[in-house]
Amino acid sequence: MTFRKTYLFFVALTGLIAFLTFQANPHFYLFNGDYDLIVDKAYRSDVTRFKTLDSSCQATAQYRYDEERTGVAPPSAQPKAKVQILKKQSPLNVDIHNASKSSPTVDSSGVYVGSDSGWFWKRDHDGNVIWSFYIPGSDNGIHGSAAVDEKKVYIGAYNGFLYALDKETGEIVWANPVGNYIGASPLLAGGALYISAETYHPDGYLAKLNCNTGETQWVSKWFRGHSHSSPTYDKENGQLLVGANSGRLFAIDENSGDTNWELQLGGQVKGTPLVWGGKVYFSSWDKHYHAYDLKNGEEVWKQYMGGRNQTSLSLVPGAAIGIANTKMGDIVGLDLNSGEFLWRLNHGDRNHQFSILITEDPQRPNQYLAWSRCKESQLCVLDGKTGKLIHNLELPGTFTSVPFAFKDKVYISLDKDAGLVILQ
Amino acid sequence: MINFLKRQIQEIQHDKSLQIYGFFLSLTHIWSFLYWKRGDFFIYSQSDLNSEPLCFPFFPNCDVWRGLLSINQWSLVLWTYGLISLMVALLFLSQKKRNLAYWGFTLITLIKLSLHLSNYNFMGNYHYMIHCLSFLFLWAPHKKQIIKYFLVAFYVSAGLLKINLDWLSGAAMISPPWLSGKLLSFSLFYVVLLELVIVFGLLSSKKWLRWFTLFQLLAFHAISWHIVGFFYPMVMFSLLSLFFIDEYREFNGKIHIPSLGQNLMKGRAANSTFILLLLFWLLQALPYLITSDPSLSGAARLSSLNMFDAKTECHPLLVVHKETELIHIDRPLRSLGVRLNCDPLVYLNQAHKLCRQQQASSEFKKLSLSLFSKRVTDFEYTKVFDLQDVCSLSFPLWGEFAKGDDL
Repeated sequence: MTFRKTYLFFVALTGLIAFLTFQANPHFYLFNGDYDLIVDKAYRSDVTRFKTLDSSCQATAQYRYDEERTGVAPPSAQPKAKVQILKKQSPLNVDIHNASKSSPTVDSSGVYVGSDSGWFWKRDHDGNVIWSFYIPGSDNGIHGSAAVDEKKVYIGAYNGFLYALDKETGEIVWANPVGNYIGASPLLAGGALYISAETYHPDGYLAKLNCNTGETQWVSKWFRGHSHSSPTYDKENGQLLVGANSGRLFAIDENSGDTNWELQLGGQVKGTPLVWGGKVYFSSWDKHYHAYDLKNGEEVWKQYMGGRNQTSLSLVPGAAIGIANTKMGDIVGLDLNSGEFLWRLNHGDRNHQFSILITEDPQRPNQYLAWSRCKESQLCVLDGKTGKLIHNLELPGTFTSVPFAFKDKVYISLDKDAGLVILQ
Repeated sequence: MINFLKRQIQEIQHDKSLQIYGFFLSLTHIWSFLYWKRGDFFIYSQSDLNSEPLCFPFFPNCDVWRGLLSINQWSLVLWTYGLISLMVALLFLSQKKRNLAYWGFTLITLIKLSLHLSNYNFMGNYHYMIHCLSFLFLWAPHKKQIIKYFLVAFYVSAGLLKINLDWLSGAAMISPPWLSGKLLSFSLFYVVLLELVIVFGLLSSKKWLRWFTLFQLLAFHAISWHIVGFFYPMVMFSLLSLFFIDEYREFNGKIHIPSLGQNLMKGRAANSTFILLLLFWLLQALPYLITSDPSLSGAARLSSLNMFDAKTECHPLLVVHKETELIHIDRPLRSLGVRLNCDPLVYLNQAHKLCRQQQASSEFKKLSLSLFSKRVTDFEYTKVFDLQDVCSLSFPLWGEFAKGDDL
């Protein structure tokens, strides 16, 4: 080969390599941690299947009971207002992390509850352990609550995995590493399973999964922040509502995962939205509760809550009243149409993490009881319409989880090492 | 056999460049000693302070063997290796003890190979290249030529691995570089050009081109120091020293450097050279023949160099199934090296150890392991493997080639 030919060969080789490198990185992107924000496309994960166990994907119990996350227990759950402690099962949490703890989920098969230690249990209705599952991989364990259908239980953990377990045996059905962390609770709605996932950088997105195969069907676009908010289903408009720590609230199409509309608030949106009456209601660290039209994302009202808020509004059926806790140490009843305060009960507990359970009063048909933490380790039972205190009970510890009612009992997961209490 | 070895010794004795190169190759063992010594990496990896097995798949119970020696004994082994390496380096500079230098170098090469193979934590390109050139130096004919061809081949192989988004976007960097912005973009492209085009200048008949290329390579390794640490650049400086030795000797009129590029292109190189180069490239190609993305694999990429081709993220799923209890086992070590962080062999080793521990328990049913990985620039995780019952496998560490049991 002459020098000229050699020269031409290397010039051609240089051209080829320049072409190939341009193909590999056409826009000369530089990875700086925000790379995924540039491309606006969230991670999509794969699933490991361990056994086949098909179910309807219709919830028999889940966080805040229903797809709209109303916080209202079904008519079959009617504990009396003046409950007492029936049993206490310890240990449960170890208080590694100060976020709200995993709330129990209860159906006719038993009690499903996670712990910040990483343990997830099925217990009988008296709290005795039937089977257990240990989930490692982070210091935070499990903070979300389980969703349950007639055969399987679904639980996400801070190691990023969403698991489906056989309710009867505790055997693993599938596991999908949806994100790097999961702090939220899964939602069974419209025959699918939804979960808010988080990544290291930090960012987050919503994922839709097939509840039987565990396969990821779509992932939303990036939320620009972690998502501690559990998704809520708006059946009428075929969309999911979910908040993010970037201060955004997203309305996401259930079929495509595309964003129908999004809002930018002045503070993090950590609570689970409530869907009711054509509107979505949610709290924010911008110190307000907000109501927006579900169709177009237009503001209906906002109400100042006196401080950061990450609770979820609980619905009093038949009365257009929403109940929440405030940073001012109040439990308040809000008019869901106007956002005005209807009543206020000051208990002095300024924690803004815990949400309220609503049950029908067995002694007064069509009247509802609101169950809330008050004064740290006390449980208060109020009249949902008037806010009048009916009963309060000292518990063995504080709680940031949401009480769960099943038949005539109420189950509460307490903070630190205070365990699970069963009230009747 | 004896004649073969005599020929090897004679080839080194008759070539001053090779004698001096023996000194520099011995230095790579001293760099290895210092690298392993630093932060007690070697002691930690070899002793029972390291609770993870981390074995090569062809030596599956290496952790049991490693446990036969105490911390102090492993420390003694390391120091012995370091001291012998130093002595061998000095012997290559001696005029009289060349036979002994050859046998000493054989010994330190075998010691390093044994230590390397006793722990998967010691995997890495630097060791791969040291082993390759040590074997060629000891046992290949036409040593000087084949070593130079191999050095060029190392760079070309590394350059090919860099034509991807991971390298070109800087995502593969293990720590932030000094450069940023457009200068970093250009530099990353230039490294590819250096390794795939400019590096052939080392084989040129033109002195200026050889020097230009050598200085480019030296600058590249010097600049990489702040990202990769001392070991990699020092190893490369030592391995490249053969070119400098020959340049120096040509400058003094002792030798004439032939055009190795032309010799190769015109088929004038020795048959053994062609065979060894072919073997090298087959070993580099092998991972691509058996796996879709070697950067996500473990055993599949053992035969090849694995440079900074990609940084990975992964989710291992290792579950112990008992009668009334499931335990998802945590990933083993938080401080694994970049290349090991998502290496299937790490998790297969962890599973293999758990199988040994759990099988005595009456509660134990099975152990399942699957691994999902992706390059940091990818948006979909790939299931690398999915083993429903690892403990039933005859060769668990080769599990990434086992047929998955996915439903």
